[in-house]
Amino acid sequence: MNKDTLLNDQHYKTYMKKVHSMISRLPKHDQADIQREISSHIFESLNNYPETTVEQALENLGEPQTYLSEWVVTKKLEKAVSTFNPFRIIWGLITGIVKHGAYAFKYILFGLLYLFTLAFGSLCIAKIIAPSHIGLFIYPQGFTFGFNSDISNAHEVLGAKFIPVCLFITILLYMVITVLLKMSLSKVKERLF
Amino acid sequence: MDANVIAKWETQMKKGTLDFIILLLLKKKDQYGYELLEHIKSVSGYDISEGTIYPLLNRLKDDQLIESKWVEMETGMPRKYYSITGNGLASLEKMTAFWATLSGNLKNLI
Repeated sequence: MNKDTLLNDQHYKTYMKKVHSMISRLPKHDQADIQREISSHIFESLNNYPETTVEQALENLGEPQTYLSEWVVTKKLEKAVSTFNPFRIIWGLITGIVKHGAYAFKYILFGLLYLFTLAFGSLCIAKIIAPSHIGLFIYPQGFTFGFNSDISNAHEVLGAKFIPVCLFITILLYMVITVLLKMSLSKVKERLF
Repeated sequence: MDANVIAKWETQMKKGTLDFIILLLLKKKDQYGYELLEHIKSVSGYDISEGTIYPLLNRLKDDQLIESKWVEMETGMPRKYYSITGNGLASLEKMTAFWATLSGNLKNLI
């Protein structure tokens, strides 16, 4: 079979549409590379075994969902993690939760950790809005970090330093969680592929 | 029940040895994806789903054990050739030594 016959085959076109929909959120360069490699594989398969039909070649290759789904999710998350961009990471985690079940629980757990970090960071804004109720409060029986409605028996110790301290902890938490996610992704890759 | 246990064990064995087989094959010569897949099937007898080879090759590339380059062909359809890197050769040497010890020990046991 020659290249043009394959490129015009209806089964091939449908298959490549499915591939495209699976990888459409990856960078353009990666998309082109994956599509090119899959096309090349189908072409070689047909030319190595001329009696094989396009349908059979596609069946041997497998449904794009089965071999691309986890690959795309981990690739996307890896890119996001390497940039430390919170929006990309959250979007990557959402894709991981929605698109595949195998590691969805792990991605949910990381999502919750990021949510906790966000809640921590939001204390900085809350401190500006309600300065007297936000801080590190010391009581005779213990302490509270964050919001406190009853401040009659409490003594706030951080004062204006609360915001920088809170910011530092938020950034530290974010970095630690992101590094943990990165380590977790390489383990996922080893288990999956 | 037994068949299930054996099937799981076989899957784990395949997963564990595929990296090793790919590196051994690429040490012999650079190969494109489909060619590599055919060789894996013929040397190991593994019946692997064809598409799964690409995420695996991608992981080996990320681990810098192999690298790839596109080569234009007369047919008009390019091939992506994979080759083993220096890191890959070093890892392969260690894998081979481990494999020799393991298979020697298991032979004595069996």
